[in-house]
Amino acid sequence: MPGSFSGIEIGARALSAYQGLIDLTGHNIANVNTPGYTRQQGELQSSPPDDPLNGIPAAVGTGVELAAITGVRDRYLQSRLDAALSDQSRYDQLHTVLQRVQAAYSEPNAGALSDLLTQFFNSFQAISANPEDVGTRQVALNQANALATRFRALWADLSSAAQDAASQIQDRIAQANQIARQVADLNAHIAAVAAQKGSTSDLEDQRDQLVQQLGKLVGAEASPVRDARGIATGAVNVTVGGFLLVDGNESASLPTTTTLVAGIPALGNDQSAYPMSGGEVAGLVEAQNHIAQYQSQLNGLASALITQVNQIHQAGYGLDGSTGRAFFRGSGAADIAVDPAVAADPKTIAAASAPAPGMQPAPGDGEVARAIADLASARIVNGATLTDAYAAHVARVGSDVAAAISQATNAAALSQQLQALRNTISGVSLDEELTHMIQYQRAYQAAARIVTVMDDLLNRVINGMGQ
Amino acid sequence: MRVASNMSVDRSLYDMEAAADRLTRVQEQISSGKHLNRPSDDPAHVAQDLSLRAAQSNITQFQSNIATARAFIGTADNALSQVSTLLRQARQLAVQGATDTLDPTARQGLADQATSILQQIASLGNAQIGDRYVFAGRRTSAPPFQVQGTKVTYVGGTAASGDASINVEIAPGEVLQINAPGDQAFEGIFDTLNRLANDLSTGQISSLSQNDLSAIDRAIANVNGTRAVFGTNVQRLDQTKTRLDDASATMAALQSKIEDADIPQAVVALNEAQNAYQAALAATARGFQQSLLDFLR
Repeated sequence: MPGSFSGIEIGARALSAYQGLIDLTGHNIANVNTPGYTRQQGELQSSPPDDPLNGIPAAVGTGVELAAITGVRDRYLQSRLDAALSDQSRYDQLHTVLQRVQAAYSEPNAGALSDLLTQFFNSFQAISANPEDVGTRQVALNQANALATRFRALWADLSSAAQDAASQIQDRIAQANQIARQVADLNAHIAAVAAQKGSTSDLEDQRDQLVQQLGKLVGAEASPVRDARGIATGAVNVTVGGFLLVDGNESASLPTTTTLVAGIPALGNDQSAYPMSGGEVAGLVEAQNHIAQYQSQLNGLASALITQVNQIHQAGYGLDGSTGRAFFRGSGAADIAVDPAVAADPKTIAAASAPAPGMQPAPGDGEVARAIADLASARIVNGATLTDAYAAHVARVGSDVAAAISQATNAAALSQQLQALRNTISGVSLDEELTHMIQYQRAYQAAARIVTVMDDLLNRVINGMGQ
Repeated sequence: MRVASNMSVDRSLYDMEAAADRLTRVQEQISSGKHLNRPSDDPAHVAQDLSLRAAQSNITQFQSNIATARAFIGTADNALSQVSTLLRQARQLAVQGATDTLDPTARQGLADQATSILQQIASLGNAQIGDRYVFAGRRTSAPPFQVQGTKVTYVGGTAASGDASINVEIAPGEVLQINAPGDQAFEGIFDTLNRLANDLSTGQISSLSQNDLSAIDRAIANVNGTRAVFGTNVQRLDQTKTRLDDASATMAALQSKIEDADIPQAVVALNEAQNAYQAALAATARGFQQSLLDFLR
């Protein structure tokens, strides 16, 4: 036989359950715009009779209770989304750096290296047609100087892009280490809350967001920790290419060096490398690698130019009778410059061929200048002309940028789709929440009515009976 | 499918950005007139584009070389044309002097005229274009013919000392000798004229009518021979220039095909991009107008 006040208790329990659900609805609505928020559901459970074993056949239950609050999440989808975002960050970063590099070339334009290279050879062609003219020689000096300056400036631009990438890599790694510590802290926190049967969904959201950031930074991947019986403990471990960044409640520091393993960007060094599946650092390492290759190619071009021009120039004679002079000094794109002695006096440009024994070099002799001009069509860089080799180099830069752009676009489209999929499962729908709110509000009103009715009944018993 | 409130916002943002990006790219093509603004716009063709630009720039230089060569040859040819005229006058003198009716004063007058012709021709041998002596071989900065009285010495470049020819590249790999060194172009002229003056003043009629006349004829033939070579060379320069012009035009067309935006197509694309952008904006503006909230009181 239930107690006299059990009816009021049923009402009170229902009021409290629906109050909780309405609060939960409020919580969901409040977080409709919170990034990474997972909508939460309350689990209602009917409450059994106080004393189900006393043999009374018609024992009434004790109402309803809010048994648990859980987030509606799909771990598999979440990890696919993280991977897509990590890819997107990688290609975005690669494309950002490479676009800057491409802009440094400023091709195809007048005044860019390709143009200056041709103008340089043309200016020697002009000398060969008019070797006596000091003005024509001065023009050639100016062109040569412009070409050398452009080589050096391009080299410096590439170097500073590579340096910026290097310092960004260090920033990102430091950031990742800090976030890893927060993930480890959250692991501990979640375990503590879970042990007391508390709701961990909001904490898990926070951790998911941090793990996602780690993915965007260094291509980190999370996996749930399981105990000896194979049951998830609620904690996650985070790894980067096999490096255990977060191990339960502990976090490590990532290696600060980077390398490439079979073309794949990795943290660490050749002895112990941890290949990154994505992330900004992967993109930056890739960009660095591209830049290093560009620089090496540019160097090859500059050094071929220096060697070949000097070789011919040294055999020639200047208007002042000087010979054996190098035209360019330096050994590559970083330090190519017109030899200062030549730069100081256009007459020292060796346009003339060697004179007959005992004769002065002839001022109208432009044979050597023509030989230098003809280098324009000589296949001196791996079987290609300087102009063609440089054009191929520019085409390579362009196709690297184009590839990075299309990869970034594709990755963005994929992560957009996965984000939408995640939202269909975990996102808050205001219409849905408002519908729930009406539903819960009605139930709350009904429960309140139960309390009033019980109050009436008790009033009759306590105050009205026996009078 | 369950639809969360943020999905349409996310989608709209993504679509608006994509539409704005397309619009910007088409606008750039139209405003710059170029399809190829940076290597990544068309990596497959940028190398060809740079090669075409280089080749055209080369052609401009070769055309400038051709102009230099033409002016150089023109100056030399003009001088030789005058030399030819003067030699014909000298021939007249020889014919006049070969008659025995002249008195010594008249003979001396003819001899003086011959000497004057010699000096005029020597001066033509030192003809210049700008500062360059055109008959000096490669020794272009000093007068090739030194004149002392009636003695004329050639000091310019010679085939023997390897500095006779001035060669100019007029097209890729195509080199043309543009000069005639003075020792070849003026071969025998000064000796012939000196002997003529001498024969005129001393009345060597038989020498005048035979040796001198034939020597002058040989000199005229030599000068005309050189001029014929000049003529051929000018013709070749003209042909080469035409050929380069044609090549340049062809390359410009090719380059334009690679570089330039197809404007009509770009304008159509611009309209499409604008429409898409407007549609994305309109959908965004309308999409968030209603929710269940509008019906709750």
